[in-house]
Amino acid sequence: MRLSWRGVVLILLGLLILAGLPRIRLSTDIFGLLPPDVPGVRALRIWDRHFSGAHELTITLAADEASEATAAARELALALRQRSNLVSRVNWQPVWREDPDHGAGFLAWQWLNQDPRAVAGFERRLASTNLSLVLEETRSALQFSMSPEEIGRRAYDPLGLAQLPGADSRLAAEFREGDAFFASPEGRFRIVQVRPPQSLGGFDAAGRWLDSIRAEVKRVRETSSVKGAVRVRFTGGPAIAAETSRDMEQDMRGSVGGTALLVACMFALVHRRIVPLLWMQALLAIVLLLTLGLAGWLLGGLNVVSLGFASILLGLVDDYGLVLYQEMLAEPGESLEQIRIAHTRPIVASAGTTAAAFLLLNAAGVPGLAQLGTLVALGTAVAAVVMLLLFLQPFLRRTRRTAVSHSDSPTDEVAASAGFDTRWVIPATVAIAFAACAAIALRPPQFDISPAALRPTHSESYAALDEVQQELGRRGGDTWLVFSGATEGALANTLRVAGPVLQRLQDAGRIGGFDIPDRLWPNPSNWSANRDSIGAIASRRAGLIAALNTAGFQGGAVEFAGRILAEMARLAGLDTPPIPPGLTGSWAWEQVAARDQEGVFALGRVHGAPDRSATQVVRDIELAVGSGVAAGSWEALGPGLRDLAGSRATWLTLAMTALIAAALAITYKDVRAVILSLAVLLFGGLILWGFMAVAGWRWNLMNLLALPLLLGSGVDYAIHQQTALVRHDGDRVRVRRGTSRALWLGGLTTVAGFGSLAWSANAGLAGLARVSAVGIVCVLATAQFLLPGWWALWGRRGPAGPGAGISGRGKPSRLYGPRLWVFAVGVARWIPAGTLRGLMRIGAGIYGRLDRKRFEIVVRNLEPLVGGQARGTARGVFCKFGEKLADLWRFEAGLVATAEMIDLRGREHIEKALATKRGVLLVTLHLGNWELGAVSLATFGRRLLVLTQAEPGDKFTERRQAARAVQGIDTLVVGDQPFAFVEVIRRLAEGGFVALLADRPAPSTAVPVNLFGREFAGSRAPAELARASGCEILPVTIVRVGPGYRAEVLPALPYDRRELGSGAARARFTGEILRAFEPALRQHADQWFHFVPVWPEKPAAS
Amino acid sequence: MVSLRPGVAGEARGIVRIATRWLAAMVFVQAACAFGEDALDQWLVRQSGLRAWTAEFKQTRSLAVLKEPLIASGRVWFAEPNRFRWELGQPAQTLAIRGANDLLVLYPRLKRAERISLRAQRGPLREALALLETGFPRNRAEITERFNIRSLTPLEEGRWRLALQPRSAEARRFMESVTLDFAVAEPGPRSTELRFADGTVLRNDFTRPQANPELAGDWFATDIPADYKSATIP
Repeated sequence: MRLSWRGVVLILLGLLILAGLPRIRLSTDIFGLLPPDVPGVRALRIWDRHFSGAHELTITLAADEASEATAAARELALALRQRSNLVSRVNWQPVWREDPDHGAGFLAWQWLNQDPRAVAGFERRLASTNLSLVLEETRSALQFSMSPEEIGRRAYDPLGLAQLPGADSRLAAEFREGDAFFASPEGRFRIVQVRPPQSLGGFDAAGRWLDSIRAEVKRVRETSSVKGAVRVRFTGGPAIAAETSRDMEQDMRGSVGGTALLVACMFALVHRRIVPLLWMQALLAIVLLLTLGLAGWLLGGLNVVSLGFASILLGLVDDYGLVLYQEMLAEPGESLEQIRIAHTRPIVASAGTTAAAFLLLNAAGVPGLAQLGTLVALGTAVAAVVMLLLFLQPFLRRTRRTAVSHSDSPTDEVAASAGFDTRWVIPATVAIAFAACAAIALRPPQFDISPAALRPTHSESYAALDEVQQELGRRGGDTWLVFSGATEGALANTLRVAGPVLQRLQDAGRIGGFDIPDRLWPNPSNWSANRDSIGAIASRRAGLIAALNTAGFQGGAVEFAGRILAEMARLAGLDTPPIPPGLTGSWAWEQVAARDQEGVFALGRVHGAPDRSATQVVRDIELAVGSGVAAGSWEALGPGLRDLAGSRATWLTLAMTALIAAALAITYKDVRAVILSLAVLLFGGLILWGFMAVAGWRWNLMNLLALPLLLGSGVDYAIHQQTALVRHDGDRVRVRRGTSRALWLGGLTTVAGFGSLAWSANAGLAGLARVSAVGIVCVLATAQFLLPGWWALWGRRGPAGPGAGISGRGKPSRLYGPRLWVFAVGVARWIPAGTLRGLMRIGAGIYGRLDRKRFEIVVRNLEPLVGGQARGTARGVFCKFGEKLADLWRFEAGLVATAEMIDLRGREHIEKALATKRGVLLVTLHLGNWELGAVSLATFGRRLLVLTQAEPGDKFTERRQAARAVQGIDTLVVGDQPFAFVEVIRRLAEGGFVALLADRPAPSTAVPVNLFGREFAGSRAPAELARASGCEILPVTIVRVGPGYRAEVLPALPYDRRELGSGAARARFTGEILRAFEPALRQHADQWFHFVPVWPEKPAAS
Repeated sequence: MVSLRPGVAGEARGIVRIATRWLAAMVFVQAACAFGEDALDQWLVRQSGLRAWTAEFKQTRSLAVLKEPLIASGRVWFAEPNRFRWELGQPAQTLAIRGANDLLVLYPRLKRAERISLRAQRGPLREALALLETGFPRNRAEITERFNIRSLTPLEEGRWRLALQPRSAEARRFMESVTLDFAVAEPGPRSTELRFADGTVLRNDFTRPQANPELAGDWFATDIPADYKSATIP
């Protein structure tokens, strides 16, 4: 198989896009889904990323007894530490308890980082003259204290080297005590923090690592005393990432697979063909992969909500394939290329509208939803391209079906046509509206302000995280303070400024208290000021040790003092402060400090004041401290989200409504049609709200944003339904068999797309999907069941929508005018016949594609003749009309040798008629090139009189008349003037030769007849002339066959002149005349040149 | 009659002698244990009849970080069901008074007071409270609620030594063992010794005990003097 260059380019482009797949990263950052401008989100996001144990696995252990929990934690930690290939660090108790250095380096560092005034006091306390008093105080405390903590501390620190200023703060106490980080107050709940050996990178690696840890934990539980009695759970970054990836995989498999299956089932049910079904599924898979590839290039990281795009996309874009396939079946007369070209514009337009609606989600300010919108928009564009380029490819070499399915033929539906029953519409509308309003009034849907709407629905890791925060008191109404700066130095300045400001807030009663890591933060100026003092103390190490010995101290007390003094000596030699050293120092540092590509962060806490709300506390802090600090708490997050979601959803809904109303107004140019479309959306929304009230669903940040989505998706149903109603003039059967069926199929696949996400692992996505799915059903049902009734009652008169435009375009094209005609005739003189004919064929074909409304008129005109082949035939009409014009121009330019060009058949009928001397009336239709036929008939030695109507434009009639006269043809313009026929009758009575067109009469001469089983406005002129003159009536056709034309004269039509005295008989005879053309019309339908509607809108009963 | 070979007979006699001694030892141990259990029960009976008790004591704190132990004297008062007052030092440097729901620790020299809630306490502080209460059990259940009885061995003159170990692993990390010496004939302990995990030993030797003395007025009141700096430990 040889590939065209276009194919090669497309394949390369596809491969390039697919190369983006490995770039995709899954983000489990819940706060990344939230609007960053909601108070508290930024602080909580940084806290979650850096300070909530996001990089470590947290194993929670809960037991009935504190001793069991402690023993289990110890055993587990010791066992995991043995697996050095699996873990790099395991903490289960305060780090200093296991620090071989006992935190000496950290203490020395803190002294060097202290306020120099405190260090001066420290220096005075350890002065040689004061030393014995200090040690005596220590001995006294050891002798008489009842506090185990004091005894323990002083026993090992007789000189008070570990007694740092600020040691009474809550933060310092927590560090010192340390258990609060690892155990609940009762001790029955403990955590073990496990750090992986290296960064886990992707979520797959996190899942594998977690499985290894789980296996190790299981082994420990089976082989140790931890068995059974202790409940073990896993949380923290790796657990959440692993769980999210697993949920994502299940979601992708479940929802995408489910949607694909449902689409397949619907397709199979409707079309019962396996090859197109499989091909469409394959293309949908390609669309998904390409979209993900594009996402990899453009977005990089995907959040858990945006992953739901796949199902939504499948539900939306399968329509493109369905439309193409339906058209392929319905138009067997057209080439597949023609079908593809014909549907490029509608599919691109539809994809553009859908993409625009989803892109509007970017304006919601909710990052999670914005990404979902972008992905669906990308996918829609990709799907349009893929379907248009590839869907029809496998069928190019297949034999096209020529038979049109029963339901596809509108002509078959004529007998069953009926209007909509409108009696029940108002009661049903009122009853449904009342029920919905009652449900809303009785049980108004609530707004869920918690961020839980963004979390996984059933998550072990999040449940464990909640337990950790609950048990270890890490929520407790405190507000997190996140200080940020480009460097540690800049952040130190912020901390220095923040301290007094927060103190003033505390003094004013606006906050209950605060802890900021100002003493833990490297302070270069303090460091520089303290180096000499600390160095001096450290240099007296031997003397201090000796004093300890003299005071009776030994062992650990002396060793500990020696270690601290040694560390002081070492650190005093450094010019700038490093980060806190040692195991204890680095652990403490990690609790309050973090760094990433955005800068450096420090964590503090504010304790709430009794009469201040969390939101007020957050606002007070951010206003008082200013830039460089973000405050946030779980309590403050809810109200912020509620306010923002409400305003954004309102704004988006209004914007989308305005956009839709404007689009509808442009499309319909009719206020009632716009109002009806908006009414469908409003009523569907009302039903949805009522359903939510009954079902007890709550609005939340995510599902509220389903409203603009519903507007964008749902308005299509109203548009299509109204278009069908107008086009079929409210014919229930035709509307239901055509548009309604397509809408159900497309709508239900969209519902399937959303619905398959209703059980998504992510609560926000599931809620959005549920509301969207139900909302679409509500809007679709309103459009299907109620809109036809509303339209019939109120919207029917004078709609000027796309369908109505068909019947409204009764005028010839503006191109048909004197100037262009004269110009064309002039040009025709200079262009070779073949070239002109070819150019005109192409030009007219393009015109037919561009002027869709004109094209649709031709299609409707041809439907009674050729049924389902009307569309393909219509294209032929345009092309052949181009050729006809070329010939006509050449004829008027005097370049055509008519006799050579026309093959006249049935000459004998003319001769026979002429022999009667009763005058001959040649009746023809707008079929083929009737003008040329008239010339050929002039060869009979009689001057032909052609009856025409006035041409459009100034002096155009006269110009055409003159052109015919050159060829020996007289023209009589009859128009709407009945007296014009007097001249014609006279001519016939004299045995003259008259020709007229009978298929597009002036309204005054039109009479309804039955043609092709439908009512048709025929010209009663031939019957009238027959009655008046008794002339011979000869049907004549002049059609293009091969390189020339064939004029065929049919036998004279018999009639009883006396009977024609009655109007009914004349009408009947008119019908007989026209029906004589039916075989020729069927055979040469592509030469029946009518570009204005020729059939009445409502079909006649047969 | 078949005579045994001399070697074999000697071995048989040796075995019989060992078996006899082992049997005698077992009988003695069983008897001693039975006697000891009986002695503990008798002492607990006396304890249960105790409404109040007071004694002088010498407290010896042998810290691993000190070359010499720290010795202080003091006095203790106990009243049913669980009130006590410890005065450490003469004059008192530390007072520990147990109220209904809290423990008040006063440091007169430093004019410092600590009020410690007795609810929801855990960790070293809880064990410290156990330390202060040890020596005043009223029945076996009060002992076994917190301790495993490791041994009960007789000393001279009707005195016994009860060796205990904290039941919870967490407590054992802090305090390895408790030893209680008592005399069956006397209510109240003779001495208590608490051995901590870091090697520290705290020993109280009680002298001049008085059973059911008249304790005047608010001996166990837990009011903090106005000029004291106080702290509350939840």
